[in-house]
Amino acid sequence: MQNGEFDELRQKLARFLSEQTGCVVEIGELKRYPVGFSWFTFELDAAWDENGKRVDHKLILRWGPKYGVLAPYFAHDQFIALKALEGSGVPVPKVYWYCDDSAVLGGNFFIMERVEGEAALPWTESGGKGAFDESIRPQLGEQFVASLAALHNFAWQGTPAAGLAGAAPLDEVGMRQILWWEQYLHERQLSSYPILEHGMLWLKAHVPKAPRVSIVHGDYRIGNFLVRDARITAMLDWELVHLADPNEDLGWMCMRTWSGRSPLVCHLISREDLYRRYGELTGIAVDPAAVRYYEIFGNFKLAAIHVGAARSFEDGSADLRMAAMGPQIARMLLQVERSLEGEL
Amino acid sequence: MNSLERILEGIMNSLTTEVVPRINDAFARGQALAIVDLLRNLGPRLEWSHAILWQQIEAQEAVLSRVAELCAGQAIKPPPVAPRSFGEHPNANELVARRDELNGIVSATLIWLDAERRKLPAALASEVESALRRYMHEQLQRDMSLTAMPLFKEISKGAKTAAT
Repeated sequence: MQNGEFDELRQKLARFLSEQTGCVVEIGELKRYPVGFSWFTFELDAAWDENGKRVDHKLILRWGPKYGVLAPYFAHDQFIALKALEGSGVPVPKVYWYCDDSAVLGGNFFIMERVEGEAALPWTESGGKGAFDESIRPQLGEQFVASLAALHNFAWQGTPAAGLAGAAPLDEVGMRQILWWEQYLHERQLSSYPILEHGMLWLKAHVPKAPRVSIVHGDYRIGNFLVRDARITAMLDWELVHLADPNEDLGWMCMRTWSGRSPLVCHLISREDLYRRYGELTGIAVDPAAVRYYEIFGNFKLAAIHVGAARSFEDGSADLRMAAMGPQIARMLLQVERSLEGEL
Repeated sequence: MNSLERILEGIMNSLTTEVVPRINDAFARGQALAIVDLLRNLGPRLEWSHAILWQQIEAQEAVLSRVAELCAGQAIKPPPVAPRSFGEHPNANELVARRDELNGIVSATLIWLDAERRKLPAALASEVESALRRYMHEQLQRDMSLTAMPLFKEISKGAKTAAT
């Protein structure tokens, strides 16, 4: 995105906000964050009148590019999930507006509050140092699990979140996700990947029955939450939110990809403590085999996402990060193979 | 992995539209534009390594030939493999097309084996599966020998740091 396009986006956004608030809205510079390989994230300050007073707002614009890893992008599901979870035990940013008419800003988008905090990255520092200081790591680990448990305990039935994709009986809900990712892979791949076909056959033959159907974040891990003063201030990146087996989140967060050299799940908590604490908070007796299954599925999804990135670049994405993911498909395929053979 | 043409086009586009306008130093801008100029001239002279493509194609043909040999005499047959459609000196695009075609057949053979397994003698089915898995493993090892560690941390931070 070029400087001129930033200005155009800013002007269009000011118009949109003026329509929503019913008054003139002033917007400062848009600052794009380098993190996030899918939706674009912009920071902005805006001011508008509320009850006769000019009020400043610190906002985040999440904008779906035409060519993206998970395009076509729609804001609806993230918005209703975040809206439903406001005030729950899950720390989420307050969402204000969404728009799935790409004519408005050139891509679908939603606007939310800007929460203070820093996002740690999963890749360990030189020497294998963990991502969090040991003085705060146990507290964060507890919050990380408590937030997940609150999400999986959330009674979505009868709320707008019931409109999320994925709902199915307990013995079908897992297969629904496998089929979704199979279709994603086949639509995006530039060439067939035999190891992924092999993995898919295995996944289809071994789908566990879900203990319940929950709102599943879909990308619950280090890197997708903010920390300030030893507190998780917000869980972010809800673009894969759906209704599914809660073990899907457990398996995903347990993947070695998010641990680097740390022995801890997402640099935060041991697997044993995670299972125990999650079980206490949800009443679900964690089935290690089901979590392992979803770790294998997670490696499959991660490989498929890399395949999707290469496709988005081939189709016209100007984001070179997508092309850079292409050569790493091999690494992801190796992880699929190893996880199928029980090495990961 | 993307096509070489698209990668070169994308690098030049990103340098020109995303990087150069945001570089404040004139010399650094000139260096970035020199990269663009070089890529414009390198493009017509570059193609994917024939040696790497041939290595994969030969491994694919070998495993598919082995599967056909194992299944000879059985009532059900694995997906057929068409002969090479290029001459003695194919270009890289022809080799890429052949590799992709064979990737599709290896995948189809895995799916065929899964669907027809019960109609094959158990030992034979195991042997077919072992051959396919050995091929996939060895190919992954070859691919990984060409793959550098990613710089996702640096890319995410927009800054050069020591990644491990």
